[in-house]
Amino acid sequence: MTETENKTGTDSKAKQDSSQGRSSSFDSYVSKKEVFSLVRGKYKVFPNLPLTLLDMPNAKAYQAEDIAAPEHKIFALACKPELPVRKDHIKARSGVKADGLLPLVDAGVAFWQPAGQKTMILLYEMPLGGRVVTSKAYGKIQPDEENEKITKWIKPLLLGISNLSVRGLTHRNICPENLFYMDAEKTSVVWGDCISSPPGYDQSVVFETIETSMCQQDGKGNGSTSDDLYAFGVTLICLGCGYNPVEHLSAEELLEMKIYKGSYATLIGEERVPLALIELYRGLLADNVEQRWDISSTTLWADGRRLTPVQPKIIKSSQRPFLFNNVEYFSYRTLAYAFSKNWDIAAEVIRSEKFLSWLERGFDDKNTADAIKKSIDMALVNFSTKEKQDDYFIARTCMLLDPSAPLRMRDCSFLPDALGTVLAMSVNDDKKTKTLIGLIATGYVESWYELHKDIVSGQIIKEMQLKLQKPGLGMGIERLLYDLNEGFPCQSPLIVKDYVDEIRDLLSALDEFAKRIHPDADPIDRHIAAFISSRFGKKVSEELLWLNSSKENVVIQGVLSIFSVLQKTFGPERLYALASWVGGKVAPVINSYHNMEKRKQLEKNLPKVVRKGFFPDIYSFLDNKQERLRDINYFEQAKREYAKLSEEIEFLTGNREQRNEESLILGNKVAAIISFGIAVLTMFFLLLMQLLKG
Amino acid sequence: MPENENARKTKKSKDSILTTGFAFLILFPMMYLMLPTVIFLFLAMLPTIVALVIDAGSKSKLKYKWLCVGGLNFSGALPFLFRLWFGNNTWSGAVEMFLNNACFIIVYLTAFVGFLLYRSVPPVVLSFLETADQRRVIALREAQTKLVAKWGNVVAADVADAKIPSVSSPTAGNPSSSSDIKTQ
Repeated sequence: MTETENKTGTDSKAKQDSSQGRSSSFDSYVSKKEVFSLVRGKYKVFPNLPLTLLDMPNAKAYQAEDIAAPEHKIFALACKPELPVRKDHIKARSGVKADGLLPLVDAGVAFWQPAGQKTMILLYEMPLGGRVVTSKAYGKIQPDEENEKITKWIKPLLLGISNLSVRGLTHRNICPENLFYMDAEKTSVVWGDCISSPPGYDQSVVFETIETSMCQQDGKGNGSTSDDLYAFGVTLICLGCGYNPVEHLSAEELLEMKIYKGSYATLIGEERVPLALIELYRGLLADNVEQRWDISSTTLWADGRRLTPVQPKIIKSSQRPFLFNNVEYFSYRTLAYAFSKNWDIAAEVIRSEKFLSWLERGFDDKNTADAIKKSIDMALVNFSTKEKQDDYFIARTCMLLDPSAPLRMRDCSFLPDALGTVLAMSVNDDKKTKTLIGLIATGYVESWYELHKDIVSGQIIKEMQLKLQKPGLGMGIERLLYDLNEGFPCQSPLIVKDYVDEIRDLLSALDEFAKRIHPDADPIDRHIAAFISSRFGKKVSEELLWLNSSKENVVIQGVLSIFSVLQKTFGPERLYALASWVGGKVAPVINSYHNMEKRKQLEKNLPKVVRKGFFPDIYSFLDNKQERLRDINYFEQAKREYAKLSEEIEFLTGNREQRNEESLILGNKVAAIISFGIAVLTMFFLLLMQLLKG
Repeated sequence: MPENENARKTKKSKDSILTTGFAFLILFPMMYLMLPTVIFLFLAMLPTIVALVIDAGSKSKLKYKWLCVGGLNFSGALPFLFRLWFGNNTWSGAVEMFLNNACFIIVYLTAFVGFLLYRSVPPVVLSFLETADQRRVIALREAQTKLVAKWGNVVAADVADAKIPSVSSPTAGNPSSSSDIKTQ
């Protein structure tokens, strides 16, 4: 009885403890839910409730809630503010369900407490089955049976790539770690996020083609669907094997092996691959882009039609080796790669007759040898210092030897397609930015496109060069930064923490900035001007020119006019703090009126207008066209009048002798007139008297 | 060309001789008919003739002396001339009237008054005009001050070495030129 009682007592105590524990954890959960960020006014994202299993390499996952539909299971990815997100994906995929892809519910900018600033938050539908691969040793995931493998894995994932391809997009983050089961039963598999970081940024070298493997992390560019299909092939191998077969190799070793042996041979190596899949792997892992299978070929294979196996193209190689840095090279690509990795010793070798004769005799390629000679001559003409001359012809030689490789210049190595991303990632590094300016301005990027016979892109680069040459606000490298990165937020120190990626949010952010601190800075700096110019340039092109005027009043008029147009177009209706900030700087505009009374009147009434916080009113108050014209006309009239008065004063006070002489002449004339007047009067009186007598 | 000019000059001198000759032809008989008047006026107007001679000989531009003296000299002579015309209008009567009575004193005194007029009126006119000029300058400067007060110092920008009148205005700055102002 006692035992029972005790047991009961213990049970009840345990129950009490457990219910207390549950209630305290529930309380803690509730309290964690009290802190949230609101995205687009529709979604709550809870920074205290992380979902580490859904984290991306550069974006942490958190619990989120759709306010209108709490049963809708979603999660949020908080992007790193310094990384450019892929705005084209957000525009094309928000709210759109596409098979084979993790559905993007929405995306928006919100203040993110952990980052201490605003950032882009991506809201995805919750993959109920979780991540496919949760650790490095994930084991064999795909079934052995070919049909099941095709229907449950290959077809849905191929559909995901295809759905992006039809929208003109690429995924570029295709790897086993980025696969999710959409349903709790783990039957539906989809590709995960690719928006939170630049294309290929999180992608390991193993999933990249040889060309993109040579690029720096941010220099891979959007690429093409062909790059996605290559990564798809590698992913299928990894899933089939249950591990990464080349895990033990470093990035450098892997790339070198891919170059020497080809991707297929490198990745398959000693692995046992199902016979039916060899054809698919060969097709997807072909290093030659023209040979690589496209979506239709892969779909045909998945539908059961067997295609002719891809025979790798034999890379042209020389019978005789070329010795560079104590290594023997037989092909262009390997040597070009070696030059790019040993930049400082490459110049002497390229200049040597031995190298040029190797090209001519080993490959019978007089054209390339001549082009390299021409590059050396051009470098001597175009650049003054030896270092720059060397840089130029090494870069050109690498391009000529391996045209499909990225643009290489010392530490830089990127595909011109990724120029915008590289620029965005270098924005806070002056040295890198200067190097990029040099690459654009001195024609390296243009040369790359020339070799690819891409006239349109070459023309775009020429336009960029023109923009770089203009030093004013709204131009220069900042303009290129925003032209090339659609979703990159404005990097002005004033509003960088507000993550302004849309022009419509600019004024609100500036208003917030003005509220936080009493600003002394100019409201439009180089970044803001370039941002406006890039996103809204056509409508305020003339006003942007005013910003570069040497006259202070014209600059302020430009600022007022631009803000006025922006507020009229995008709102908000009231910008009290910003209006007050700009209002404190309008003295030059007031002083540009000539009429002092008008100035006094403007000064008197300005605070009233500024307090409205509406820029169109402030602008029209300070810069009324009719008032301006009247002021100018009357001022010109006053100037003429003043000059006339001055002339008269000068006449009256200037040459006194002449004036005295004139006065004396007048005096003499007066005397003569008086004298003759008396004579005439005398005659008149005498005649009158005679008549009266007579 | 020189031939033409010579011909023109010759023609001018011929015309002048003809005109003078014609004038003498008319005046000479008239002078003979009015001999007492001519004698009287010659004697009475002697100061004017002297002044005319002096003016003619002077290098000064101001040749008004004979006009001032002449006007009053003539008005002094006129009452006696009337007496001659309506009295003993003979050449002896004319000489007698001029010499015997106080006539010549009066006539020459009026000529002297004319001379005094010549000496005193120009300085008076000069000082009057100077005063008027000064007043005008003050008025003009006031007008300029008003313009500066209304438009600022820039209104005088086009006037070289302008002495800008000081204006006590709190906002009298240096506005930009009209070309720097943008209007939409």
